[in-house]
Amino acid sequence: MKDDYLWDRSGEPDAEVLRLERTLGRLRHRPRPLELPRSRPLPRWRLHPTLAAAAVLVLMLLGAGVWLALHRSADATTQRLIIVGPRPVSLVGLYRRAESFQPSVGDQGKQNADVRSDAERASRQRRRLEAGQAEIILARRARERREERMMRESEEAAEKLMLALRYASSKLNLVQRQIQVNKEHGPAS
Amino acid sequence: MKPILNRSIKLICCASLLMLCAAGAALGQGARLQLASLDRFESIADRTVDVTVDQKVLQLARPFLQRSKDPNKQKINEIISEIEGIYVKHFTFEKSGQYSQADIEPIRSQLNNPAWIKIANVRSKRRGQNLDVYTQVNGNKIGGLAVIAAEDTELTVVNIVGPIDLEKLSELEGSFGIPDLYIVRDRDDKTQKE
Repeated sequence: MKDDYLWDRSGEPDAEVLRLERTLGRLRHRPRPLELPRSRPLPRWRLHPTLAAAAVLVLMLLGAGVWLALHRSADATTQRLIIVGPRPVSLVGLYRRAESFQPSVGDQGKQNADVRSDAERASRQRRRLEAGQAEIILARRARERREERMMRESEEAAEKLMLALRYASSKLNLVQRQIQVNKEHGPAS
Repeated sequence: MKPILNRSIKLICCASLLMLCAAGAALGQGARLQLASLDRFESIADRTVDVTVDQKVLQLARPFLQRSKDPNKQKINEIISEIEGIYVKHFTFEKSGQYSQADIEPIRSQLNNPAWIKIANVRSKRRGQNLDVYTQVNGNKIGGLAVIAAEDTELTVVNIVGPIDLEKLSELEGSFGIPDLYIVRDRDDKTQKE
């Protein structure tokens, strides 16, 4: 048997080959133009006025929040300084509370720990304040002592000067008196 | 001839240099007298008062006087406004003859100077007083004052450096806050009564 049919479709084909050809022939290539899928246009940003207004509002709210937070923290610092400065009694009270603090069990534990830490902080502030006040007092005393010493030295110098002037004045007057006596009574010697 | 001329020129130069140095020293000294020669009386004298008021003391005293409301102190402040220094040495001896006029000669020799003018001189053998007042005149102003009061049992030397008003200074006696020595005045009064 020649298998020219399989090679170039010449000659007599085999029945089995024809059957296969018919079966697979349905799937053979049929040339047709290329069909590309239709591309959808990309969505373009559109400015929605309501959305923009909302965004501006949100930004403004955020800005106001940040400013308020900063402002409040600055106020809190100032207030703390005011408390530390002229009213150390409250800090003393907290310090005493810390000293007399007894730990308890149960739900009060956390609260007590907070109170204790506050009191310790207050006592530290009190000690710092006391140290600062002591320094100020010492500096003031040193300045007072220095001024007092200068005043004393100045007074001593003035006394010394007055003593010297008294001698000078006294001797000048003595000469004047003697000249006057000599004028009135003639030569004394 | 030439060596003699050279020697003469050298001598003249040396003399000029010495004179310049002396003039410079005299100018530098001003009205300040050297009173160190009196220091030896400290061991002999019964009582010694040595007061040195220099620029530093004057600077210290001025604020005190300026703050004071006492008119006398205000007057003192005016008097010392231009003063550069006041130097006083006062010795009180137990008996007369413990010092001689020769002991004061070093002070007098400093005042035997054209810059100083003797404005008053009182000699009293009966009272044993020898009082001299010298002033140094700079232009129309008194640039310094020296008073030597040598008495029987007392010796006082006062030297004021700088311009001073003598009238105002005389007015000050007895007007200070500190008590005055009336010994001399009392004795003078007694002598006048006699």
